[in-house]
Amino acid sequence: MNQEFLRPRLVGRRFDEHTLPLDILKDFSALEEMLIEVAKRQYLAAHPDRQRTPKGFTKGLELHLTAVEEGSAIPVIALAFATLFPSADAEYFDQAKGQIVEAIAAAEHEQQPALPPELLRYFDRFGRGLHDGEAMEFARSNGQIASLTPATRERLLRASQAESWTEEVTLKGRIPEVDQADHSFELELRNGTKLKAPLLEAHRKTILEAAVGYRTGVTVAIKGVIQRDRADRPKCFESVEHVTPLDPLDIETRLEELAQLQDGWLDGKGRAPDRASLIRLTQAFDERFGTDLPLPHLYPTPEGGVQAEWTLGSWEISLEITLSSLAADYQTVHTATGDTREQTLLLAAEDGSGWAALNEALTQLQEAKA
Amino acid sequence: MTPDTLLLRQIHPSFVQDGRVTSQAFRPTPKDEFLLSVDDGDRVTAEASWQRFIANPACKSVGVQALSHTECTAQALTVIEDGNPHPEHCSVDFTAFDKKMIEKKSKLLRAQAEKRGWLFREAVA
Repeated sequence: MNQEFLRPRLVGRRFDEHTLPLDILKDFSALEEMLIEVAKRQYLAAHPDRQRTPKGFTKGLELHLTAVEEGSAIPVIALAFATLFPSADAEYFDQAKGQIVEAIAAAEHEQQPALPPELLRYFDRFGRGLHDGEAMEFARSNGQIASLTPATRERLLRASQAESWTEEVTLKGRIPEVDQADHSFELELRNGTKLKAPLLEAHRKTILEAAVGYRTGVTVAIKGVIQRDRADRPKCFESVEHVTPLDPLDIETRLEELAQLQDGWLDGKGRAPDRASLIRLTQAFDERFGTDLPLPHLYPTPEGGVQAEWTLGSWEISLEITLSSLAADYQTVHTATGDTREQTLLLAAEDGSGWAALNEALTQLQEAKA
Repeated sequence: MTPDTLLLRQIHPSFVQDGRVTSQAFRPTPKDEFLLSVDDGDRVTAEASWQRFIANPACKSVGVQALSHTECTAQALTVIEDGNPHPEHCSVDFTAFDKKMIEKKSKLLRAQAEKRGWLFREAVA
């Protein structure tokens, strides 16, 4: 039989459609393991004369997802019993749930959680699938809410005294080394940090090609699980899910590079571009730039802006973007005839007219080139 | 200096992406008082020009591209042999032009410099 057990509320953009990404189910699987361990502790605390839990204490007990309700998304999780009636031991699972929720609440309020460190280490996997800006909300017995977020999870892991913990990430970098005998490779991040990663057969071809292109700057994005130490330094990849070769002109990657510039970057002169504005520009390119158009080369300007450039046949094209307003000066020059076309584009316009004009102008030049 | 003289221009690392140099490298910045710094290629090699430039810890360059004296003249740009701050130093004078004209000229100069290619490029470790 099934008995409703838990109704956490998942908050964040991914859950707005009242559905659950399958990825997050891994977290609930870890929660199930954690519940069993905490319930065992509860049982032993209630029976100090016993050395271990009775045989079959957890036999036939499982957590089942029975429904997903609206608001943003609320998975309904039931405790499933193999027997016709609830086990007498089910009360320890209720107590365990309460202890876990109280640990989350304590971390949320920057207090020391009551659970012992070894049990807090389950938060290495429970909560790992949450992205920035997302939360799992649990009802406390006092009617308040305990919210598990990436920040709360980090506090719980620090309280667990673990030397390192894991995190789901996508990191970009180059491949300086592949060890085929060891089935491993290294990812070199932009700051020079090298992370060892397992080499899976499915990724071998992509990784080897990226390694050949190391000197020419071939970059890949790797999605996987890394180990991070208490000083917040990434140590290595524990597992690799996806390896994606990036276009040499990948806009997000290039604008991330430009975000690293400091004031004075141009031989003592040159303003650093504003990072938040670069993120806004990345999103705007992603949403509005024509997908069948050639990607631009992107350069910083000494005034703290960004200049996009294209060479299409004999046309030299530039788009000088002021980041604060996303106002842009477009100019194209024919190198043989000197023919010049200019316009001012408002890339922040809500109706997308600035981007539409840019896409149209580039399409015309692309067709003229062909 | 002859019409064929190459005027050596240092290229900042942020002004190169995937091997392509921006047209900004061939125009003065607003703080340069409309004068583009170059070295006289008849009097110094590209490598020596680069070595001297990067000897200043505040200055970065991944290599040297060039404009010819003729290309500057064709754009109505005067080359001034000012010899300051070092004897081979020259300035390409953009003072007579507004921002849009300067940008146009820099695009034409960039295209010609790209055809010529790198005169010197820093060795990659």
